[in-house]
Amino acid sequence: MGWFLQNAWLIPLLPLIGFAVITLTPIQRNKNASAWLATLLMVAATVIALGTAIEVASGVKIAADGTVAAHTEEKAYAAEPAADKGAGHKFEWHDPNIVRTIRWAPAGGDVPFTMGYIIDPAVAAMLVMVTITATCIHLFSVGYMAHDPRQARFFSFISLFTAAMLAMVMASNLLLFFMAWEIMGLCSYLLIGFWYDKNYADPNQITPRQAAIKAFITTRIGDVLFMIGLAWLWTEAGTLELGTGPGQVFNPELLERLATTTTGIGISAATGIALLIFSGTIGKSAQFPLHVWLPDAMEGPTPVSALIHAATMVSAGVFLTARTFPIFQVSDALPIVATIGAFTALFAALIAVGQFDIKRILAYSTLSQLGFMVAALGIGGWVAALFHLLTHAFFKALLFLGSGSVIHGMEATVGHDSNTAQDIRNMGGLRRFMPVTFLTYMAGFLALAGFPGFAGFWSKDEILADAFRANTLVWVTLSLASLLTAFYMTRQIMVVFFGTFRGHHPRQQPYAFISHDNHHHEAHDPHESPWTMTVPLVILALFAVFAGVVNLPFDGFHHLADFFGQEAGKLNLLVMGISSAIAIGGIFLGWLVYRNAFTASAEEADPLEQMMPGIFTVLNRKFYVDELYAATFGIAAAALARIWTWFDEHVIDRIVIETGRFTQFLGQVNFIIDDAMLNDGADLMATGTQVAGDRTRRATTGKVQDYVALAFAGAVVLGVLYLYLVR
Amino acid sequence: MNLIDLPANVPWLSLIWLSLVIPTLIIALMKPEQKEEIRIVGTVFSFISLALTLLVYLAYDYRSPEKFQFLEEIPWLPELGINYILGVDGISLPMLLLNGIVIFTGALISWNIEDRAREYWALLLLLAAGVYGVFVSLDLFLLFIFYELAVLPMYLLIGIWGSTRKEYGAMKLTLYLMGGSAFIILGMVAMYFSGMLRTFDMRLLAQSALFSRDVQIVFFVPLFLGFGVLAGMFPFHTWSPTGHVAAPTAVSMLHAGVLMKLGAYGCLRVAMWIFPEGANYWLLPIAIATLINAVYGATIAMMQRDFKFMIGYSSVSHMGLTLMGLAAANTIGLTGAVLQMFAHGVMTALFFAVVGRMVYDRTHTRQFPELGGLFSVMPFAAIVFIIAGLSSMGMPGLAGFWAEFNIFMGMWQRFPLIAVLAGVSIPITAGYILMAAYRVFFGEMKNPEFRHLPKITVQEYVAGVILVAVLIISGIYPAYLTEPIEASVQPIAEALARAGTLGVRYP
Repeated sequence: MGWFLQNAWLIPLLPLIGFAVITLTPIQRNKNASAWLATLLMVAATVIALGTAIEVASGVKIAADGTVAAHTEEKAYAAEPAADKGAGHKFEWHDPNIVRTIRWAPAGGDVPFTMGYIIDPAVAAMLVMVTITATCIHLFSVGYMAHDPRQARFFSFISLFTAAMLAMVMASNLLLFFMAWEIMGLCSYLLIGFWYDKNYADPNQITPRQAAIKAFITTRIGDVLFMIGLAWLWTEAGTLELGTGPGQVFNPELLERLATTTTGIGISAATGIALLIFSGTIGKSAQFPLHVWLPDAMEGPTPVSALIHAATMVSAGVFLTARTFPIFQVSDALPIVATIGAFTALFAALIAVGQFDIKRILAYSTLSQLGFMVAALGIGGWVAALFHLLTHAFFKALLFLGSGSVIHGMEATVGHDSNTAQDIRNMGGLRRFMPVTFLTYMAGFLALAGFPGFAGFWSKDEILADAFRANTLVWVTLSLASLLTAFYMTRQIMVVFFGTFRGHHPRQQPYAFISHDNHHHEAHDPHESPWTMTVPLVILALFAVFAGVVNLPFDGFHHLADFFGQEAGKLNLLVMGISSAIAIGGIFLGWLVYRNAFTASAEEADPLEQMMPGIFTVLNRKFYVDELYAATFGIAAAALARIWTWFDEHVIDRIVIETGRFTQFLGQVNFIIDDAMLNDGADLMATGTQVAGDRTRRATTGKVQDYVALAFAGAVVLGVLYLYLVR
Repeated sequence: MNLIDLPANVPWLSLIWLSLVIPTLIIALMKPEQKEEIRIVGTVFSFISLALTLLVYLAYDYRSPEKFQFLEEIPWLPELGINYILGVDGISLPMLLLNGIVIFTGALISWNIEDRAREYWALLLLLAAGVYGVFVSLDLFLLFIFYELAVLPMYLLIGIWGSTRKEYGAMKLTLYLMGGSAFIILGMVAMYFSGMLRTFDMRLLAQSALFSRDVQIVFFVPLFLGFGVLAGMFPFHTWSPTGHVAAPTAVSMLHAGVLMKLGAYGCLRVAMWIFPEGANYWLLPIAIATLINAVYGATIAMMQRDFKFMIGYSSVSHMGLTLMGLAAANTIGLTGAVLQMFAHGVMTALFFAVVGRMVYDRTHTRQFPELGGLFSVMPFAAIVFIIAGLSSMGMPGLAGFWAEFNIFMGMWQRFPLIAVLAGVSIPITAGYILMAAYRVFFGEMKNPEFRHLPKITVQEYVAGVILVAVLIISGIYPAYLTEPIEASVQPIAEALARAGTLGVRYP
């Protein structure tokens, strides 16, 4: 009992070992060896994570002194919903199953920075989700990246990423959490820019290396605010340890104090800290207004999009808010959280309708779904948010891998031009060429669209049920977003998998594409992907279909809520009915609009564009947010930098130079004075010296006695001076 | 806690600075044609000095109540209160180690100097010897002499072996630093005559009861400004980018890596330690100046088209953060400041090694528009540059993170608004570093001749690997630096805190 909990630190260590071995040893010269090494280490980590989760589920608790207790007693949860507390669920932080920390570095006070891990049910669930999706994606990458000469580097980075993600999930304090969080950001940067030498014919199209910088800096803005929040929290609490005990951040007395302290700007300290921490979430989970980086992050390889930008890293932002939820509960920040989440959910769903790139549609869908989770947290639906986080990770990873498989197949026909291979208008009828991909993709589609019975339905329904009870406006917004989700996913499915295949005559690019490889692809049809790519699809598809059963809204089936030890959502048949109707209605609407789209040729306009061209263009251009930022912040920053550079060169340096000139001028004046007045005197003196020298010359007699006498006289004079002046 | 014990009767600290004076003499006696031998002598002795500092570092016991260890006291001019007193504590030790690392890697980087190699090496080692001397001196007069010893060779090194307006850069730098010295002398003399002890022993001077509050407030200014000029404090920073750009690579490394730290070290060790009440009085203006330093330097760095100028301004920005840690004036802020001196020293040495030696000496241009695509030609340079850049933007796992994190923590407790505003510099830093990496290493190769650049030499590899290893080790386990640092800055922080309460009571 307890072996897995005791050794849970191995979970992030294994991928870290993978990173170190691939980076530092000659194994990197062998592409397959490094790929399989990374994958096998992930399998091992998955086994430990599953073991840990089983031990947590069976209630094993290990105290600080190492005593193991098979803890089975049921706690009585406060079932009384406070009237004004959102969805009415009360979140409670329970004692974790194990905490292990060591002193790391001094922190200026009595409490040092520590490093360590903590396992509680939420962590265990996240560990299982991350390791399983990461393993699937590693396996998929073995096939997907097989032809890439930099495969070893890819697996080294992705191993480092996975290690950081797992370390973040298990972090015992917010500092370690932040460190792992930043390293994930770094890996995201490295992997988005993985094809750094890729260029596009269109100079305005964002290249991977530019997208990488954009992603890094945009999330960094959120990270800085997060760090400031940590500094504030640390100043108030004197610690960043997670937990409710004395000297830990969720200590009731401390929370009470934070909630009652009012700052100079009129909000309580708790609200300030919560909002700053939430800024980290906004950056990492790509919520409005820092959402602009995520769609461009699709320039990275597709497995990266699946792992980092769909399943794990972006949901880390949601996890951050969930992890620090006790602070949010005592603050006034939750309405803001709910507003930003709900707005992003609808906003991104609208943009997704107007996109043609298969991965960008999914990217906006990810934004939208993350908005659902954030909104759920904002209305107090903690369990619903984590539930949706877990199911979404599986089915969105599945959809991304499926799109990767589609792109892989398309490249056989249209060549390695991502603009052509990823444009859904060039696809069509792929279900005949890629049956496994098609079937698994359908599972992901139905889950995401919220078709009754699939994983996404249950988790989204729980959010909607909570929203219905807590805040009607949020509920309406999220319901609209669900309708759009079903609609744009149906659009994608119809255009990609149904109809006729159009890839042999793809759309003309406004800029000519110069192929790197000279062999002609036009002769080939798209093909199904190898087993390393389809097996992960099948595994993830099973999760997409069945993962919902862990937390059905019926009494006695709230397994996940029980596992977390939190209050479960309540069954609301009305909301469930409405959600089902919305999902089916959205799918029907999509079918109606797109059943005959692009039948003739890939050059056709989108049916929606034919109906309302103006609106469609706005959606297609993503509400012009990028352009707006470039025109405001971009220009302002450049102008400021220019002004300051000018100031440095023309004011400060000018002063320096003028001071120099002035000194020179003074020198001139002095010289004149010197020359005219003093020099003549000095000449006189020189003459005098010559005379004196002449006399001295006579004194240099060459007799030793005379010198000794002079030396003695000198010593006497010095001695007298010393006695009188120095003492 | 100390890992090893050293025999107590050996003058370890004198050995450290003499270990660079001795090769200066040897090299001066060698023939100018013996370039290879000169290089070997210089590198071997700089390695010996690094090894000695490492030994002393490992033997220092930071848990001991005796903060100053390895003391050496020899009367010099006892009548004037000037003595040869050496000793190290947790503040000077990391600086010693830093100087050892930078001079050794700088020596490795200097192997391609062909022109007047003998004079170059002699001056370079003398410069580093002076820096060692400053960090081990506990006598203010002695410290000042070593300080001048460190500043003077700089003029010749830049003026003779430099590039890009070298005479202008050298003259500007020297005049600025001499101006700073004038301030320092003023402060020193005032300190000497207003205290009753007639001594330059800083341990005695630091008993704050010696000086009245007014004296402290008035004479803190010249001392802090004098050293602040060397630390690149706004608005006295413009010498630093020009000087860095003009200097030959190893000198840039020493200069930005260690010499600017002399300034910050002096601010802490001399000005703040001896005049805590004065420091406390001026904290807010200093904090504002350092905020400007950090943000302003970063923004200007973003605009540069010259690779080396960009690094020069990034140094201004990062030294601003160092001084900001000092202005926080609490234990965590001061710890962060000293750690930032170390982290920035290593990191910027790496920057200059990449920019000056690996890139410029091969391509003969530093203009961003002319560079590009160098990753395929010299991946090693690109990787170490990116690691240094990540450290500079505060990436966890590298030394810079802990330093910046501690500084922000400290500043938040002192002036939260300034901490928030200084946060602006972090994304800007990320921006210019990543843009530089993009333009130089990943963008399109503008000049096809770059495909045939010479390979990275063994010395460059070794220097790069050492610096990267130090960055990573300090990032993963910063406690080996921060434990001694914290133990030593704590008394200073307490004195500053006491001064704060006094200031409130008697305004």
